[in-house]
Amino acid sequence: MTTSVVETKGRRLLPRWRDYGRPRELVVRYLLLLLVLGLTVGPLLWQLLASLKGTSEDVFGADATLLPHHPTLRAYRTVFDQVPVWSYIRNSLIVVALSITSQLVFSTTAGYMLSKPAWKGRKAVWVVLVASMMFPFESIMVSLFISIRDLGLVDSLAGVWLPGFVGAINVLLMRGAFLAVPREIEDSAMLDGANEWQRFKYLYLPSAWGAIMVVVINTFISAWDDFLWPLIVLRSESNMTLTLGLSRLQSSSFGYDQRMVMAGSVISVIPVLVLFVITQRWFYKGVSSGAVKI
Amino acid sequence: MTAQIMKPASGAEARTSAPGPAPSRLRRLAKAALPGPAPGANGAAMYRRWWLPWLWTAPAIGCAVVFGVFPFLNTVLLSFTDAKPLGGAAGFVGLDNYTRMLQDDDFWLATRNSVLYAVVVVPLMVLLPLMLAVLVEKNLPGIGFFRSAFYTPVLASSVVVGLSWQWLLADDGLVNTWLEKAHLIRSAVPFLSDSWLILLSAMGLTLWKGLGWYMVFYLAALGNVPKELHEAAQMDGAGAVRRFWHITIPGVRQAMMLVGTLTGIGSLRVFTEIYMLGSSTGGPGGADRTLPFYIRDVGLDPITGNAGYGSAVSVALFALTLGLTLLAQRLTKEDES
Amino acid sequence: MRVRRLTRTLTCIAALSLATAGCGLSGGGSGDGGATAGGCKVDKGNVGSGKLTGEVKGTITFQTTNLKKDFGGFFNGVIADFQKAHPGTKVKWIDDPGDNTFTSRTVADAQACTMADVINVNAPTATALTKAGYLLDVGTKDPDASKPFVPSFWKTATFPDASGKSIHTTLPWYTGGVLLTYNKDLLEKAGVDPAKPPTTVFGLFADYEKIAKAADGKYFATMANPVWRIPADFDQMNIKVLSGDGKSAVFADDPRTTQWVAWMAKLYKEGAMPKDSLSSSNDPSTLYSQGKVAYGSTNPSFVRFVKQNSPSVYAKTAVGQQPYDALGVASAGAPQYISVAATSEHAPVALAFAEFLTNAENQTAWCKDPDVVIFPTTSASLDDPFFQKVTGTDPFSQARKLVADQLKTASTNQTNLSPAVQNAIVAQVQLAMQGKKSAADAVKDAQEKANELLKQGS
Repeated sequence: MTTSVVETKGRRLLPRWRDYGRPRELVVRYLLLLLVLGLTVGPLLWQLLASLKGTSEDVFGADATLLPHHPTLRAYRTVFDQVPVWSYIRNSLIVVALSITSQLVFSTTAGYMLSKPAWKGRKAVWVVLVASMMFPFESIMVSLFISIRDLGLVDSLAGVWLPGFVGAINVLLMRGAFLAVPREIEDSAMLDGANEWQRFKYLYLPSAWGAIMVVVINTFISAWDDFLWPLIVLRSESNMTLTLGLSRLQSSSFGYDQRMVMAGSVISVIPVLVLFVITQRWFYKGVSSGAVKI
Repeated sequence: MTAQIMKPASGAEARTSAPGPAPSRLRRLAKAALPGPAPGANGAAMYRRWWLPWLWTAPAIGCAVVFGVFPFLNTVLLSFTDAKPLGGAAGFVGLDNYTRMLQDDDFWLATRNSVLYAVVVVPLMVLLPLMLAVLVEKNLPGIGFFRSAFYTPVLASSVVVGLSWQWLLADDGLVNTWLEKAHLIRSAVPFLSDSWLILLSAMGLTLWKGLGWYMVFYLAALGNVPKELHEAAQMDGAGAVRRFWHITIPGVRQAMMLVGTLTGIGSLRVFTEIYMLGSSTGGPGGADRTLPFYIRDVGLDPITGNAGYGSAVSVALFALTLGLTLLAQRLTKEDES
Repeated sequence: MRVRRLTRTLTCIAALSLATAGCGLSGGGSGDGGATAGGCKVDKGNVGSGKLTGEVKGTITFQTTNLKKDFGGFFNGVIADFQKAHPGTKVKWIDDPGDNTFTSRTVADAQACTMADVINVNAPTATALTKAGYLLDVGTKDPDASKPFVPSFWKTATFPDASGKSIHTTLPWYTGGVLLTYNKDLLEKAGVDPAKPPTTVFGLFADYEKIAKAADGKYFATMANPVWRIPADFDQMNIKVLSGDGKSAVFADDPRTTQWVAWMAKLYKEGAMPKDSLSSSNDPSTLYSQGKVAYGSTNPSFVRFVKQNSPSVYAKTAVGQQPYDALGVASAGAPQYISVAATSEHAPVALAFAEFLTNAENQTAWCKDPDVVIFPTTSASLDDPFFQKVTGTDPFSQARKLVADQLKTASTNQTNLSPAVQNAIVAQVQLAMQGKKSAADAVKDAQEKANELLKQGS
């Protein structure tokens, strides 16, 4: 295990695997990565590949193969023909955009204040926030819906968005990230005459970049995947969100095509996965000066 | 007890709020010059404009009260009545619902399942995603692919997940086929018909779906662990496992507490996983019903439900969640000191 | 010290919020003595006795359950025809995805007084909404409403209101019917004659047993989860499940219930059903399509499903009469209903549209749609040659004719169990099938649990 500078220099043209660590450790790492890959994605693979199967192929049973013999995008075309997918996607994106905006603004401001020791009542606020996460949604569903009705927001995207206005979980997440910002930096900023808002904006927010990304992805998924609540609030086809619209592909009373259900699932996952691929590098990198704390 | 949770965690903050020495000269100067925090009774600073913190937190408080606390108080009120899910006249019945609950075997079974769920899932959910985060933390070639792939179970719709897991766990499913091929078993393991195994399988499903979600939390937290510590330990000959226990874990302790709290709350609210693997009865004989499942059966059924009784069970669920959260916080604190 | 301060703060918050909650609670309810349905204020004409009067003019919403994707053209046509026949009306069509949250979602809708004016409901939802008074009593509001329907359908399509009185809050719409579907090859291998389906439920069970013996674990007779058979089997055997007023369970009083459970336990033990299907939500479609289960689902749409998805198994599929057993007539399956919301602001329009949609002409037209295997509930429609024409030995057409014939005398007196009560009974039967309880104990406990739920709900 000698990694001399000379040797590295001599093989500059080859991929510089050595930079990533000792070979044995690297092999173990990749083996572990592959193992976890099998465990996490493996169970889904068969279902997702089913979406590429043609009508002549079995989806279920012992004769069904993992790989489609004649891969086809027919199922996807049918989904796009049968339901207005683009309109669903637009509605979902509107809810997502609204949620991310409000969640970011208000979870950072609230998280920031909760990370400050200097005011009375913050403990009670913390308790209220934690408590608000403890109920099964079903038991508060009806009273929630009646509030939305009283606000005149039935069958509107705003009604879908409102309960996801700002979530306790994100506030706690941001609070933890802000707690990790060293106090000394703020002290000097105060000396420089920065006011509360300036310190928040120029000092704290940039330090909590990683946690902010986590809030973004969390919010995206919750808003994108939510099913029961949009189902209760929305009525018109033109207002339906993607998860809601695609759920009609599984009508049980007149039978349904497994391949199309799977195709619908793939369609709904792709945008989130793309967002994740784009943001994942920041989860880790951006937080060198921040951390998640409760 | 709760106060302990909120005890400032970082050294810097603990210093400012601790009673004792007068603030430094710098601090005093700063305070004189700025409309920022002013010194409070025990050294904790107070805002001159007392409403400022409330203004900043108002949306979050409002949301929590309207969508969390208010419905909950409504639930508490209902638990003293015999209200029906579809409304109509509700009569006050005092503590009847609560006395019925204490004598209800099905309630205790559901409580046992929920507690068991939390006890098994929480420690694993705190540790496994952390290990996963450590595994994908390093910027290796292709790591973005692995991170995203590990995250896909979070995104998979419940239809896909349900079908996938049944395909894995059926009597002639993938797991049983492999076990038989390896000559480890002679007849199929009844993952989907034995009530204990259904509960365990549901826990596995929860873990599988939550791994990626919390991996992301930990990735954000791991950035805070100083690289120098790892390098120093490596020089001293500490292996990966030892470094994980002695450097990584203490470094992300706070994140672990957050994950522990969230998964604790989450696992006491488990419903979907049980429904997927045990269908509408909640396993054979209803033996795998959790508290939310039981609330649905006794409280939310539109024809024979009793919202009053369901609310009483909801209140019990709430108390249980709060109790376990506080207990866990206290245990971790004691462990620390 | 700190704890005490916290407690004080919490108490303050609690008191404050309680005050708010109090306001919220007292805000609802009836105001100035006007008419109400459920918790909603409604037009006086919508409730109480007396024919519904008023002008057929205004805009209503019409809610179906996941039909837009496949039948958009048909319903848009019906809506256009109605609007043409009644100038000044407008029907807004919305389509619910109709998954397993349908009932709870509709109930939330009703409580918020925002339910669609004309709504497609199933029996459990109709039961819940009628009990709470959210549906218009069409029998009273239009005494002529019954005319087009098959008398047996109309007579049995009633639901109890809050006082337990049976009222007509629904118009029968379409139904799937019930029949046996089976794989001829697998039956013949076990020595069961596919041409002579049994006439009793226990006879059918005996056939299952023969199949289990011949199969030796390679295939199965049927699925294990009793949820597919309760209460349908009990109804067919004419076992009284609930008392007349629906307020208590009485099925344990009939010795045949215990025999039925004992049969199920025996069949499960002998391998007539896949072991992992005991508490699974999978119906037989998948396994049947693979030739691994001898008996398929009991609705005619299933034959169509097999035809589309598994041509080789379809070639071996035959249909037969569901055992009439003690009931003596066929069951109409689980019909779909059309109801009018009592909270409708334009009830005359809503009622007119509901009747228009379910009239013989429109029912026949839809049931002839090649994409459906459903049957109308109006007398004139069932006589239509379409349902009588059988081409060759095609099981699909056989199924159509068989059910159309049955439906003229069919009974819809399917017991309406609440999902919770059904689950409670099913759970006890599962325990007996696992051998954890004797059949007699399971039936006794099932009745006890069911009664507990019925009592808390009344």
